[in-house]
Amino acid sequence: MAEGKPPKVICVYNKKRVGYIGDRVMVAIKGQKKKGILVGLKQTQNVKVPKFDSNNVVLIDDNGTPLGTRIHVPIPTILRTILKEKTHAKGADYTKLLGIATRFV
Amino acid sequence: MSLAMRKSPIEYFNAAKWIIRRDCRYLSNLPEVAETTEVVENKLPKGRKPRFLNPTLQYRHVYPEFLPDPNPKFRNSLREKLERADMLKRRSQVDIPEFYVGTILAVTISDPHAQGKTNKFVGICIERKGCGLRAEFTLRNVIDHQGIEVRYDLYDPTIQNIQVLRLEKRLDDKLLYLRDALPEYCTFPIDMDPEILPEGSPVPVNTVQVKLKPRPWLERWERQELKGVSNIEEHLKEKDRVRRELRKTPWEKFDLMKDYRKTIPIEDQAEIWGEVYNQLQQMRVSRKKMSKQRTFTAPKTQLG
Repeated sequence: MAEGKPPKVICVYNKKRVGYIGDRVMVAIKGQKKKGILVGLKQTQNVKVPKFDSNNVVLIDDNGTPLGTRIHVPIPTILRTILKEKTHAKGADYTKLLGIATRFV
Repeated sequence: MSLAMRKSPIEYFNAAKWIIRRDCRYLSNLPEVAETTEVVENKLPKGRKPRFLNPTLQYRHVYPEFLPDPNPKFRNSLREKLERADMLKRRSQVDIPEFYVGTILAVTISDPHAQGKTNKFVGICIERKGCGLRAEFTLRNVIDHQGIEVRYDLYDPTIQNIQVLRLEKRLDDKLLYLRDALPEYCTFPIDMDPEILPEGSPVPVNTVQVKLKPRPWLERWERQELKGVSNIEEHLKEKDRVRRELRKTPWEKFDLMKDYRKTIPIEDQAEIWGEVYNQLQQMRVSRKKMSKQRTFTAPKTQLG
């Protein structure tokens, strides 16, 4: 994973311009621009929402399908609800990444 | 302070002016591990003979959230009273055990987002703060090589169960440095079994000293006089040592006024504990009975 420059979030697609859990972001990774979903954050979280030691992103394509096949890091359960709310009938389906998660906390 | 003391019904304290007043200062509701052991040692021989020190005062370490915030801005006697009543009601519903910073806990909450509608998290308690119904604690664990912290409200109605897996204290009153320590110091298996202490034994103090990762750190740990860190000097440069010396505040431990502002006076504490002591004691006794019954039934189910 750590080859060359570390990946960097260069844009957050919300009005506040600060990435919160479940937000869609643009990531600069290996000289490319990719879309991703924030699945774990270092910043202080609400009560009962886990706070991670690193910021974690799952890369997705425009339809919401994850680019990889597995997620090695635990996923907060609250993402189930957040991603369901963000998914609309005709738009991208973000809940697909929950299917490849290995563990929930 | 002195006026309040003269008015208070406990006349004993007036007689032993200075020394006991200084003791009052140390009746902090912020439990420091080293200090508490000292206080307990002092108190036991004294307390057994005349018993003039209120025995309920030992509860300030077991139930620190019953004491209000010492800041006069946030004091309101009616609100505090109502909050205490609510806390006792909640405690009668769910067993909130005695635990300290450094204790390993398993917390089960009902979680509408989880598949089984419950969510269990195991971790070491690294911080405990807040008073009254706002009391909260933070658990930390390393799962799949990823450090995870979860903050819980102690009186959250969604909490189903709090289980103490290993009851112990650590050398410091906050373990936030575990975030910068090597991951093996806060890795606990999710299916950890509870360790049962013999009845009536004091809470053990775990004197393990953790090793920090190389810098950068989240905080300037070298300035905080931590006892639970072994290799802090390895990572320091000459510049950091000089600045640590410059930033030291050795006079603060003699600052009686500062101590006073941080603590709840003994008269107020006696009032609070007098209010909740009986109910807490009853709850303890009934829980003990329940647990005895439970241990009695457990082998039967195993056999069957």
